[in-house]
Amino acid sequence: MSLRDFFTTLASDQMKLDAYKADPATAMTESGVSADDQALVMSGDLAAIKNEVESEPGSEAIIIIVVVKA
Amino acid sequence: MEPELLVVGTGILPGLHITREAEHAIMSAERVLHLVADKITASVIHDMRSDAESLLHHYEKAKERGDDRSVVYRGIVEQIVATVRSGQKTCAVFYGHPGVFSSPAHDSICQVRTLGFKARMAPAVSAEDALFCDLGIDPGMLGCQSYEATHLIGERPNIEPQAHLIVWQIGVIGRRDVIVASEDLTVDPIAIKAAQSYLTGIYGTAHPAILYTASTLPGISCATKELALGELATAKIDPIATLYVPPIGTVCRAVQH
Repeated sequence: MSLRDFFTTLASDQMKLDAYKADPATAMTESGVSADDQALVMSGDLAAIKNEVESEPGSEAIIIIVVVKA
Repeated sequence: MEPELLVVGTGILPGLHITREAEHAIMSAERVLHLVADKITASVIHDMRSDAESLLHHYEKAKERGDDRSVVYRGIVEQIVATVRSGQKTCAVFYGHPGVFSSPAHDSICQVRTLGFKARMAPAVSAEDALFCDLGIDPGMLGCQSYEATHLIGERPNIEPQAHLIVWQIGVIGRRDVIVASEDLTVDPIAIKAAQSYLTGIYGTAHPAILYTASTLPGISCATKELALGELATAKIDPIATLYVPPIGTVCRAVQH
C-alpha cells in the first residue's frame, strides 16, 4: 500500500487511526506499507513524509497562496 | 431545491477536522465544488460525493498560460457563481477554514448575495486553531496579533511586543508570483531580511521564535523549529511554515506531539 493510500485510510477510519497511534509499526506492516516508507514515517519528519505522499504518481501538490488584496 | 451557496472548510487534518455541518452541506447539495490542497482531502470529499468537482483546473490553466493569481481567483469565483445562477444548491468546499486566506470564498458569497441568492459560510478548523493547540497558546492571555508575512513588511504595522505574534506564509514572503507548489519555492532573500530587520528592531536579535507547520497527515505530529529572530534570514523555512513570536518576558511552552 502506498503512503498516500495509507494516510487516506487513516483519514476516514477512526479505528485504524487509533490502532496506528497505539502501535504504528504493526499498523503499517498489516496495511502493507513498505519498510522504507515505514522508516520515513517513524522518522516523524513531516516535510519529508508529505513530500513522499505528494510525489506519488497522480498526486500534484498545490499550495494555495494568499490572497491578501492590495 | 432553492439555488443557494454554502461555503464550508475541510479543516487542516483530512477527514478528522471536517464538521458535521460541513458534511451535511456536502451530502445535501446538488453540486459540490472543491478547492483543496492535497489528494488525501480530495479523496475524503469524493468518498462522500463521487460527483464532486475539483476547481484546481483553474490553477493548471493559469500555470500553462502564465496568468497571475488574480486570474485564477476570478475563474474560481465565476464557476461557483455560475453554478448557483444555474439554479442549483451549491456547496463550495475549501481547505482549512473557508474564510481564512481564501478570498475566492468571500468573493463568491458577496457576488451570489448581490445576485439575490442566499449564501452562507460555515466555520471550520483553521491553521491558527491547530497552532493554538500545538504550541499551547491561549490568545485570550496577553492578546494575539496575526499578519500575513508580505503584508507585514509592506505595511509595517505597530506590533505590540507584549502580545503573541503570528506571521503567516513566512516561507513564501515576498513571493506574490507563486501559484503552484511544484515550483522550486524559496524564500525571497530581500523580503526575509526585511522581516528579520523589522522584527529584531522590536524584539532584539536574541528573542526566541518558532517556525511552525501544522500537520496535514493523520497520526503525524506538527513540525517546529526554534530559533532566535536574528537567525530568521538564514534559516531553512518550509514554504508553508508560520512564524510564531512569543511575547517579551514569556517562554515558549513545550510543543505538543
